[in-house]
Parts: sequence; structure tokens; C-alpha cells
Amino acid sequence: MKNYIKIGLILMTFTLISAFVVAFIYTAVKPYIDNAEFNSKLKAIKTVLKDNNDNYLIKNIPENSQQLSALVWKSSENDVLYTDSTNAKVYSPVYKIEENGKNIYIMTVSGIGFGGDVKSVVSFVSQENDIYLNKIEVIDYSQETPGLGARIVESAVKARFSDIPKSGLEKTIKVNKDAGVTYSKDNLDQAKANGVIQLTDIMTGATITPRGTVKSLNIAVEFLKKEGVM
Amino acid sequence: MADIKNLTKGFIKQNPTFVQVLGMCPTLAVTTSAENALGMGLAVLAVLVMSNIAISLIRKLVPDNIRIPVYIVVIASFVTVIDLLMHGFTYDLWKTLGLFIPLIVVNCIILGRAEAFASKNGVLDSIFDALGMGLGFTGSLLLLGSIREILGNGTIFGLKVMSETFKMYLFILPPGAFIALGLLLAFFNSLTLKKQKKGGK
Repeated sequence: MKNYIKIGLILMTFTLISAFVVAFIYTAVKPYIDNAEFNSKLKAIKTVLKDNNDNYLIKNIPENSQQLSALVWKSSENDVLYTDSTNAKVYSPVYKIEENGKNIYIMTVSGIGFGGDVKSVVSFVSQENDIYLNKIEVIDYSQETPGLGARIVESAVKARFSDIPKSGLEKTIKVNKDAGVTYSKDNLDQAKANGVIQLTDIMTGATITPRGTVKSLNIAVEFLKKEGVM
Repeated sequence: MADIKNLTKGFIKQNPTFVQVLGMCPTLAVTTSAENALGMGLAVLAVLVMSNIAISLIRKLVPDNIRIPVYIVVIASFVTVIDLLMHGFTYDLWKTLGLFIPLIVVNCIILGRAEAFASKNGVLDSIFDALGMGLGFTGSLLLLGSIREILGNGTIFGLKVMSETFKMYLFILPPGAFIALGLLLAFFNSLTLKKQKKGGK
């Protein structure tokens, strides 16, 4: 009996020491972790605030967490603001930037890809009665197959998901394989106007990841419709 | 005095991946690219060195019948520390490696070295052992990762080395991991066999 208590106490001592070490490191590193998380988020937001020529759409670019939190448009206590039957999600918060009669909506969305959520930050620009999808930045694709689905992060691929006009958004967005059509490189604008993302020519072999991304764009559109923006 | 052999044995002779065939789960899973493989290898190396030092220091204080739980507590603490540090300072790599960092806790190389070496030897020897095994593991992962990235994606560390035409996607996918690992295992075993034969003569 005595021996068991002794062994128990020794084990407890080791556990306590470990707990203290981990707690100490956690407290020391926490600000850096928050900073890294915030920077990656801010970087994605800044990317989607640029147009295709790499120029910012607006002048006042948020630079710190204070400026960013002033731009929150919709938020919820839960992490998720809106979801659908396919488990695509719009995450809280959604930002809105108003400048020169232009409204820019920035949201983090996800759709189910090959191995889990494919998360992107996406921006919509609304002006007068028109709205278009400006740009997407894929931020989490860690479960996708390298060389296949993970190519979703290549800029040539992301470009195919950007600059989609209102007419394309109103029809449900599809990848060209699902739409059953193929557009040539010169007709990409026409494809986007029809809500078709032409991909088979630059991203061969991967269908599930872009489908997930497309679902995440569609739920973003649905959310904007629900909020009366479209 | 520490023995330099403790350092060098992990490189080839007792290479943890190709000779001892330990730690197969991360070896197969994260070697899709050379960068991931290197990151994982270095994370394991860091944990291995720290846990070997700690376990060698406390080896006389730990009663025999609870040594495994104590080692696991020590290893888990260091893994958590590495996980936190990588989250804070190497965010992108941390995101790519994902679940495999916490899983270092159950990496059998680390517990294996704690049990087989650090718990029986002095600190300096244990550091040598950890460095040797850790570098051996990192090297193996890097080799496998590079081969898979070159054959499967035509790049190494993201730099293009081969034309699109020769890409074999197979090598990036799980079956390719088994094939590449199998060939490397055969190669390393043939090396050791040759040496043994020579020794026999």
C-alpha cells in the first residue's frame, strides 16, 4: 500500500512539473500565436481587396485588428453564420467596407473537398445595382491531395474563380465538367457570365476540391441574397 | 566520455526508418513534398533531443514500474511545446503538418530511444544518440520526400526540375509512398547485407 502511494506521488510530481512547463510556454507564446493567426487572416483579406491587376480596390486598407473589427458587418456567437445541406459554411464575422459608393463584402467560406473543409476568403464588390465576385484566396486546403486537389491554391487556378459577374452568380456556379461544357481560353469571360468555372484545361484530374470551392462560393451568394444584398 | 559511435550509428547502420522500420505513419504520410518531410524531421529531431536529455537526467528518480507513463508525460510535454512554438513562429509549416505534430507523442522512435537508450545512459551519450537518430530520421524523410516530389510533381522544394510530361502523380498519392519506401528499404538493406557478407569473409 505504502509503495503504491509513493509511486502515485512520484507520477503526480512529474505530471505537475510538465503541466507547469507547458503552461509557462503557452503563456509566453500565446501573443505570437494570436499574431500569426491574425496576420494570416489579414494577408488573405488584403489579397482579396486587390483587383486582377494587383491594385487595391479601395484606399483605406485595414492594417491592424482594431481597424479590422470596425469593419465587421455580420457576426455571430457561433463560429458559423450560415450553412446548408452540403455542409458548406459562411464563417463569422463577415466584413463590409464602404468607399466611394462601392460596398465590398469579405467573407470566409468553406465547402467539403476531398479530405475536409476547403476554406477560402472571398470578396464581392457591389456598386449601384451590380455585384460581382472579385477574388478568392484559398486559405486552408491541407487535406487535399498534393499535385491534384491542392493545386487549387495556384494563382492560375484561383484566377478562374475570380471576376464572376452578377449573371454568373445568379445561376448556380458550376465547374465546367459538371456543366458539361468546355470553353476555350479566349472565352473565359463568357464562361464566367454563365456561371461556369473553366478548369479542365489547367487542373486535370481533380474534381472534388474545385467542387468544394464552388459550393463555398454558392453559399456565399446565398448568404448575400438572404441578407438582401443581391 | 561520450562515444561518437552513438551519434553515427543512426545515420545508416541503425537508421530508424530504413533499417529499424520505425515511425512509418509520419514517414508515409508527410513525405508528399521535400519541405514537409524536412519540417517533420526537424520537429521530431527537436523533441527527440529534448526528451532524451530529460529522461537521461531523471533516469535514477523514476521507479521502474512507472517508467513508461513518466516517459510519455515527458515526451507529450515537449511535443506540446514544439507544437505551440511552431504555431507561433512557423505558421505555414504548422498548418501543413497539421495533425502529425501532436502525433509525434506516439512516434515509436522517440519512446524507443527513451526506453532503449536514454534511460540507461548519461546525458552526453543520450544527446549524441538523439542527434544521430533524429538526423537519420530527418535524412530518410527528406530523401523519401524529395524522390516523391521530383517524380510526382516535377519539383524539389517547390523549384521546377522536370518537365510536366514526366510527372507521375502516383508518387504523390499513398500507393507511391509505399512503392518509394519499399525500393529505398531494399536499397538500404542490400547495403547492410553487403557489409555483413564482407565482414563474414
